[in-house]
Formats: sequence, structure tokens, C-alpha cells
Amino acid sequence: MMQALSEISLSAILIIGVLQGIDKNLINASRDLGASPYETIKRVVLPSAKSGIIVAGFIAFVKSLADFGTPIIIGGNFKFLATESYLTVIGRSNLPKASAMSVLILVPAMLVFAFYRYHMKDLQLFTNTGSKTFESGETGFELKGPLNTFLGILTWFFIIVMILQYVTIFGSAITYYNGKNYVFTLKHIKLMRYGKWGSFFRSIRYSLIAGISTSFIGLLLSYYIERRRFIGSKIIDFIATLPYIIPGTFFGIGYILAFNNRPLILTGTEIIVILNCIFRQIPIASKAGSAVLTNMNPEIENAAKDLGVPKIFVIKDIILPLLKPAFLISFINTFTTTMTTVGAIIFIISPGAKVATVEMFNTLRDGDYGIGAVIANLIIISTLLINMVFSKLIQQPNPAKALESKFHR
Amino acid sequence: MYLQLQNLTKQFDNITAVNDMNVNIKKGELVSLLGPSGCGKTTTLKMIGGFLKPTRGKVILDGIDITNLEPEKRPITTVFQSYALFPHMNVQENVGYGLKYRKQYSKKAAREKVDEMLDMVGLKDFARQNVTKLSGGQQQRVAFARALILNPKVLLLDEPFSNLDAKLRVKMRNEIKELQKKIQITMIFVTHDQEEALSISDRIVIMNDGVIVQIGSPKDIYTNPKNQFVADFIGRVNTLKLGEKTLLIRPENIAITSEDTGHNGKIIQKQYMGPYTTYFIKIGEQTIQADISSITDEAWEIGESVNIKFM
Ligand SMILES: Nc1ncnc2c1ncn2[C@@H]1O[C@H](COP(=O)(O)OP(=O)(O)O)[C@@H](O)[C@H]1O
Ligand SMILES: [Mg+2]
Repeated sequence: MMQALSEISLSAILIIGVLQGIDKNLINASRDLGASPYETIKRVVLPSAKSGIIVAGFIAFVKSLADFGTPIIIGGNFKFLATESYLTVIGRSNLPKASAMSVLILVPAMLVFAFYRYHMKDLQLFTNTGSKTFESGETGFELKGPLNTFLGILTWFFIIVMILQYVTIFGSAITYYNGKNYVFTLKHIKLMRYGKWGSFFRSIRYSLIAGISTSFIGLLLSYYIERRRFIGSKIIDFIATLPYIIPGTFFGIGYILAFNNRPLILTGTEIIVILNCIFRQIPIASKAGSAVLTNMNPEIENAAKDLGVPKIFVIKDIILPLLKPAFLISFINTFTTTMTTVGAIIFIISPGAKVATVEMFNTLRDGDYGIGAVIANLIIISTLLINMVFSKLIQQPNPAKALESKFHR
Repeated sequence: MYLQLQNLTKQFDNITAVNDMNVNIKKGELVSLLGPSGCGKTTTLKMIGGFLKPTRGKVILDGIDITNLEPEKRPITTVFQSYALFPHMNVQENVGYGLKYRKQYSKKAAREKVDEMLDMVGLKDFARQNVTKLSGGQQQRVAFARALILNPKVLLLDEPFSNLDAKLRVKMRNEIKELQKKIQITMIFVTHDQEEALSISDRIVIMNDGVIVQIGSPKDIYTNPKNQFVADFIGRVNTLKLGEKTLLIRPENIAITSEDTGHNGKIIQKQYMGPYTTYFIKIGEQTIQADISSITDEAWEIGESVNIKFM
């Protein structure tokens, strides 16, 4: 349940992206042909969004599989593989066994991945001609009847649960339980002094670096995969996607094994933590890039070449600016995940350089729910701020889309 | 010959989009590629522009084999069917973009050239306008200016007017024709609109299913269509069997008269078209169409028995 809740937001963003990509003329055409809104959703919108829904499902699945933080904190008697392998490493220092367990997580992840790859192909089939947005004044799209009510209730339920969740966290940060009542206090916040601010700012720094680097690398990668179609681009795509489908725990243990020895002794350094975060999120960056690129008229790039502009400048002047929305999405994503990740990096950070989530994880484990809540709040607020600022930037009209809709009027 | 396409062929997985194409184009000539959708026009253009590698054959420009040259190295520019304007740049940035990487233009010289170009296509007042805010016709002009500013040896246009409304289309094609005459640029113009091709071209290359069916001047092709396909595609044509002979005859080359001509028919339908009226005349088992100019039209009635004359 907790897993589902926390994945819904990301899935929604992905699916909204796909929905925005559906040619609105298609929807208009469908209604023009006499289909009701309900029919249109069933016949046009859902099939078009199929790939997006599958991808979102896939991502949620893998993330849940690999997440050990939630089950450990929430407790309960169920054993989760990821949690087990965490305990094996930390508690019993049994690296081989932990690796073996992580491999077990890998198997279903790989299966889902195969499924995902199969369905991603469909995304290519959509021709992206036509306007993506309703022109102002055009009839929108309204659902009526019980379906609408049901979807409405579901949406509101989700929103309320999310709000409750955050209110609780916020509340715990500034109250304590004196046996009878919850009383307002600042003591948790004061306790933060002891080195905990350090880990918070470390988190921010890691997240910024990871966010920017990931976006650059991922977008360039997506460009080469989408547009250059060189031999082996499929394989590169696969390799680049792997870190994402490999559960974080597995990835973290892999990093310990890989960088504990010569020639690259990186365990315990900052670089390894940042690298870990970068590589895990590159797939998202490259997928975001691919999404924009498949929507972008390839003739625009040809036009630049046609004018005699050297390739490298075509990328600098044309491709990168148009990829800006993907850059922002990818930045938000990497920033957010780096701010909130526990699984992959808990193994590789050095005790002196804890990040906020690990700090929080430890305080929670020690039963210091108040301080944990304060850290949680800091994470939430900073992440939220970044998210809001960048979402605002994304919402600025995308020139590529604006042109297309004009063009097909 | 300035631009030569020699045995140009392009095969995609299982279809031959362009098959063994041979065309010679003179300097300063405006040649149209005309044919139905899917006949290989764009593919041909892309091979000339360098965006597609031919499966076989050569593209020779001014005596130099450019078949394997990258598009950015070719002195050829394209006005794309979708215009392919850079949506994040304004009008003058779009037009000037190609000059940015030509060393011989200083920043100032480039700016002057852009102004000159914008003046020529009538977009001076829109220099700083975002291209996404322009009308279709204006976007078309930006695309044209952007391609022309580099003084290409050949300018390629892929159905440049297909996204404009009928009136604007006629206006733009007159403008382009005038400009082409003025600056004497070699142009290859792709269209599936026969009227457009007839009105603008020095020569027309008629294509069907990836092969050239006929090459000739507009008049040549209209008056002497090589076969039924060409005759049908360029204007309308009546196919009339008279004994052993098959006649291809244009509707405007038929007159209706009361005097005896030896060809007798009956009017079964008529449509008033403004400048002329189209009469549908049944001759034996065959029906032909005759366009009678409104000036000479004697207002024949449906059901009337008439004689027809071929001119
Ligand atoms: N990249 C491609 N891959 C496979 N087939 C193609 C490709 N581009 C064009 N074709 C096919 O080649 C034929 C000619 O296409 P095209 O040159 O675009 O025609 P036109 O421009 O005359 O409408 C069509 O049958 C089209 O489907
Ligand atoms: Mg075409």
C-alpha cells in the first residue's frame, strides 16, 4: 500500500506525458465520428497511452521490489528480499550472501524488463503529426456519469491520503507525546545541530551534482540512440537502462564489490555516491530525451545540417535547446531520487559523510521519531521547492509543440 | 549539364522507392517533380540533399560527384515540407542561422544579409517575432529565406505550398517564380499539384511508382501526354475509341454543334463551372466530357441530341 502510494505520483507524471503526446486531432476525430467521451477513452486514449501505462507499471514494480526502506520502517512481519539483503550486509557483514539475495531480486526485475522492452516498441509506432493540445476555445473533453464519479473519488482519495501522510510527518517534527497528548515542541529541531545539518546539505549538494550530470549524460545518450541509430545502439540502450531495472540494493552491493579493490578504490568517497546516483537515473534522463526526440520533427535537424552547420553545433544550437523540457524533467527526477534514496547508497557512504536519508533512517531505527520527522520535513520541503520551481519552467510553452499546432491549423 | 541524376535508385527494405532515375537539369532551370503521393518525389529530393544514400546511381553537381557528400557539405539547401523552422529562434535567428558558421561573413555582414533577405520576402517587420507566432504563409517565407540566404547552387522545395490555403498558394507560387527568374537560381520543386507544376516550371518530370514517365515542358506534356497516366494526371482527358483508334482528347478540345460532323451524341448531364460549362455527352456506349467556354456556350439542354467536333 505504501509502495503504491509513493509510486502513483511518478506514474502519473509519466502517463500525463504520454497523454499530452496524443494527437488531439485524433480525439477530435473520434468524437467527430460520433464516439462518446467514454468510447473515446476506451478506443483512442487508452490504446495510445498503453505504452506509458505499462512503462509506469514497470517502474513502480521494480522500485517496490528494490525498496527496503519502507518495509523496514513501517515494520510488520513480512520479509522483503531487499530488506533482508540490507540486514545481511549491515548486521552480519555477509557480503556474498547479500549479493546472492540481490540476484534473486534481479530475476523478476529482468522478466519485467523484457516485457517492458517489448512494449516500448509500440511507442515508436505513434506518428506525431498534428497538434498536441486543444486550441483555446476548442471543445474540451468532459466525462459524465458514474465513471467520472468513480475516477473523481479515486483521485480525491489519493490526494487525501497523501496529504494525511505529509501532515503526520510535519506534525511529528514539532510535537512530542507526553503520555496523554501531543505537545508542541522545538526540541527535535534543536537536536538537529549535532552534525545532522551537515548531512542535509551534503544531500542537497549530491543531488544538484547528480541532477545536472545525469541530465546531460542521459540526454546525449538518448540523442545517439534515437537519431544516430548506429549499429549497437540497441545494446547501448539496454546497458543504459540496466541500472534502473537493477534494484538499488543490488546496485549498491555491486558498487562495494567493484570499487573496494584496485584499481579503483572509491568506497567511502563522495564520488562513488554521486556516480551511483547518476548511473541509476540516466535511464530516466535518456527515456525523457527519447520522448522529446520522437516528438520532434526530424526535419528540423536535417534543416540545420542542410544549412551547412557542423554536427556538433547542430547539437548545441538545435537539439539541446529543444531538449530543455526533458532536461528539466530529468533534473527534477534525479534531484528528487538522490534526495530520497536509501537503498543504493546506504552501503557505500562512509560513516562520516552520511546523507540526509541515511541519517533519517538511522534516527528512525533508533526510535528517534521526532528528529527523523524533522529530517524528513527538510527533505520534503527542499525537494518540493525544487520540484515546484522546475515544474514552472517546464510549463512554459514548449516551442516545438507550439509550432506544430500552428502549422497544422 | 549543371545537375545530373544518373541511374539514381533507392531501395527500402522491400520496396523500390526510386528506380533508375535519369534527369539532367540546366543551370537556372526550375524543374518540377510531379506525381501522385508515394511515387518517390521526397525520396529523390532527399538523395539530392544528402539525407538519404542512394542504393545505386550518382548525383553530379557542376561536374563534381556529390553522391557521398554529407548534407552539410553540399551547396544545396532545402525548403522542407514542414518548413522545419527552429522553434526556439525568432525570424532573424532562423534566417541567419546558416551564416553563423560561414567564416566569410562577419557578424555585421551577416546581419545586413539577413535584413536584405527579410526585406525580399516581406518579413522585415517580423524580424524579432517568434516563428511559432507566424501564419503559415509567413513561416513558409522564413523557410524560403533561410534556405536562399546561403546562395545555394540548387534549391530544393518539397511541396512547399501544401499547407497553405488555395489563394495563398497561388500568390506564393507567383512570388517564388518571380524570385527564381530574378536571381536565376536552379530549383527543384516537388509537388503533386498539376496546376502548380504547369504554372511554375520550365520543365516537368512526371513520376509514377518510382520511375520517370515523361519529361518535358509544361506545354509539351499537356499537349502531348505520352500515355494515359500522364494525360489523366495532367488535367482531364477523354479516352475515346473510334473504330480501331483510341483518341486521348482534352475536354476543352471538343466543340458542340448542330451541324453534322459524323459524331453524334446525347447530352446526359451538365455542370456550370463559371468560366465554362462541362457537358457529359453519351456517344454510343461511351461518355465524354466537353468543356464549353461560357463565351461560346449555346446553352444546350440535357437530353438534347448534338454533334461533336474534335479540335
Ligand atoms: N524511410 C523509409 N523507409 C521505408 N519506406 C520508405 C521510406 N521513405 C519512403 N518510403 C516509401 O517510399 C515510397 C516513396 O515515398 P516518398 O518519396 O515519400 O513519396 P512522395 O514524396 O512522392 O509522396 C513510398 O512507398 C514510401 O512509403
Ligand atoms: Mg513527399
